[in-house]
Amino acid sequence: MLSDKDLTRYDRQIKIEVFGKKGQENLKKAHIVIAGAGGLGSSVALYLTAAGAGHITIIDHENVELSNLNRQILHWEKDIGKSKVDSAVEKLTQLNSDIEILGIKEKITEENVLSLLKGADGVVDCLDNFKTRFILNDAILKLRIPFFHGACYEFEGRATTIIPGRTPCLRCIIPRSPPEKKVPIMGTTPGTIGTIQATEVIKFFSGIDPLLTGKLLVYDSRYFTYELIRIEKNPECPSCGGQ
Amino acid sequence: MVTVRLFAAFREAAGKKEVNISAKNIEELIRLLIARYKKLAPLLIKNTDPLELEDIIVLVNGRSIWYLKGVETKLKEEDVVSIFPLIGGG
Repeated sequence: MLSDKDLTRYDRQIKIEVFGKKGQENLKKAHIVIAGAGGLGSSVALYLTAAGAGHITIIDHENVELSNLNRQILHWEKDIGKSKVDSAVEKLTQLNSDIEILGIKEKITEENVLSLLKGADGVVDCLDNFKTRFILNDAILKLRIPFFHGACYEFEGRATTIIPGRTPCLRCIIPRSPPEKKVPIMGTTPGTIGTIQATEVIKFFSGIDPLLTGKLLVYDSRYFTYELIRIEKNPECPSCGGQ
Repeated sequence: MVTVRLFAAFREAAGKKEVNISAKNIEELIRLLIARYKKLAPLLIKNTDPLELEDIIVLVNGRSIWYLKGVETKLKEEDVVSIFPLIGGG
């Protein structure tokens, strides 16, 4: 149920016919886990908080460093050395005090993933490595909840929306982890991709189609191209078996 | 002819978005591609003999070649092969 304050606060999006009060109510009920409070996580968390996603959990085990500040816009100079989730929750609760925002300072592992995702209705992939992405991918398949993938490199970005049983999973298209390394990223790239992920979350929970399902968005801001590649389930996939 | 769609840095290196190549499998296609567009070679392959690909994504009609037959994956005339860098930053 939306309050009078909600109706005023979200008025401009409630006026969108396909979204409306019903969309806002559904978004208010949703519990969304944002895995990673870095570049993608900053953008996703800010927009979902502003849009009125009712319950947000943000997970990250790192502290803020100076070299994060070109792209991780939730963290400021005063936050250097502070945990990213504390820094994020501080800003997000000031942006919207009417929603529930929880920060968890933990590394996501095979052992803790299911308890970290308990009660989640969807997970947003704002990570910087495939090892942890695959842990989350397997967990969302077990839990049968959507997974909103995003990734960046220099001026390039990728995004897709994974719905267990309906779409290919992350491992259907990316079978193995590349070596982990610090990658070059233009600060605006995760801003754009995170905004696309947040839009997908809003559309999913308010029932607006089409989504980036069965499609991989390949974005290149250097040459201003957005392209969609059709992706298919793989019967040989070790995570979903093409189911 | 197989339609090859190149994305991101690969497009820049080849100077082309889309290329048509006649090849019986992925190995032949990659070899023809790097012979035609030399700047693609260091981006696509680690080793020439035997052919070993970099950490890239190669999809044949939307399916990753790693679940098909890798570089030995057979191609048909009407196939669409999409090739793009694997990226994971956040």
